[in-house]
Amino acid sequence: MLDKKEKVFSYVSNILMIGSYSAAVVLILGLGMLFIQGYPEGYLSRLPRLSFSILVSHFFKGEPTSIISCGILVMMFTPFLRVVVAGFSFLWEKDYKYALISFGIMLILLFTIIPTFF
Amino acid sequence: MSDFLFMILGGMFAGLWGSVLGLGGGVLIIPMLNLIFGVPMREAIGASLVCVIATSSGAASLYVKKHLSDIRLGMTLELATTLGAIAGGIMAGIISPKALSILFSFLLIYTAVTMFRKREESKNSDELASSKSFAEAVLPDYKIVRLPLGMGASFFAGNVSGLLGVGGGIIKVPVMYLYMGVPLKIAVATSNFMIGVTASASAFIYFFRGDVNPLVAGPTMLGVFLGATFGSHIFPRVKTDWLKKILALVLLYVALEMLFKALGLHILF
Repeated sequence: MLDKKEKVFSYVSNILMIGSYSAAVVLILGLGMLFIQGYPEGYLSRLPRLSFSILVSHFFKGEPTSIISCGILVMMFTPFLRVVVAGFSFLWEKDYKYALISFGIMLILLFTIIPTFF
Repeated sequence: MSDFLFMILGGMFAGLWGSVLGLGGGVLIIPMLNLIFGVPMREAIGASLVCVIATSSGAASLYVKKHLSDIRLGMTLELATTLGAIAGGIMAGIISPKALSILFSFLLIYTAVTMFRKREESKNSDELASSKSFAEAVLPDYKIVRLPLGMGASFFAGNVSGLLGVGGGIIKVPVMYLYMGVPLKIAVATSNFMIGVTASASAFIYFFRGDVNPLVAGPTMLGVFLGATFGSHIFPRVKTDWLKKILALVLLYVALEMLFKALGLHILF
């Protein structure tokens, strides 16, 4: 039986592992579809940045570039989720100082994350 | 289509070397994308940041599980490093790609010079990668000192990371080890733990600006992820001294190539 401190380590470790492997699976799916459909010409030209809602709708339509973007976003969100999990784990452990630090980092990250939704 | 496959292969190469030599992939990925594939500097940095998150998350998961990362110290320093990364990410959008190339070439020279020095650090990094050493690791008790200095250094490391697309471990590890009283193994693991959050803070800025091209970052990131995973399982006991010296020479050459290219001169490409 893991004690509370052990559980913080375990939760943080697991979220990092799950996040990175999930991102890899989504990426393989998108890149596989792109491989079948053919890589677009002029891929280095700047692509329009899609809003979150359009990206997700394109993802469900099976559009390869959007699937790849979603895989990248899953990877980018993994450290944020790690901070959230650590914050709540510290709170549960009644370690309020580090819970507060975690939520501070969360706020700083939200400052950069929120604009990508629009 | 061939570019797509070569990006995956190039990413695998960077991930493999990075995991074997304890480097974040950035110093290899950015020159590869910029000099070989002709990816604009900001997009190369955007792709590199995503790759840095991928390598850091995999390794940090292992380090945290083995209790080698000091989570509490890491999260305290992350307050400063994320702010630095945001500042760096914003700065990268303002200064010219040419200036970014020049700054990056200086970072490569610094990295190459530190790799030439035979240091205890490299030995410990190699040991850290070995699963047997994890099990055998006897970690001393330590007391953290000079936290404000560490916060300042973390801000600077975050700034370099956000500006140039690297992990910033090359700054954080020596500061934690030499000035903050943190044992080297823990400093390496804690730095790795922090790198993902640092890179993520600036990666969202690059993404928002449209500097994360999925057709460049996607295949490179997949390659890096596969290479780093493979490298951490296959090469933990590879003798790295001569590999480091070869890579240091390659980095010096690449640094000069990037510098000359930014200045309008060309020595190879």
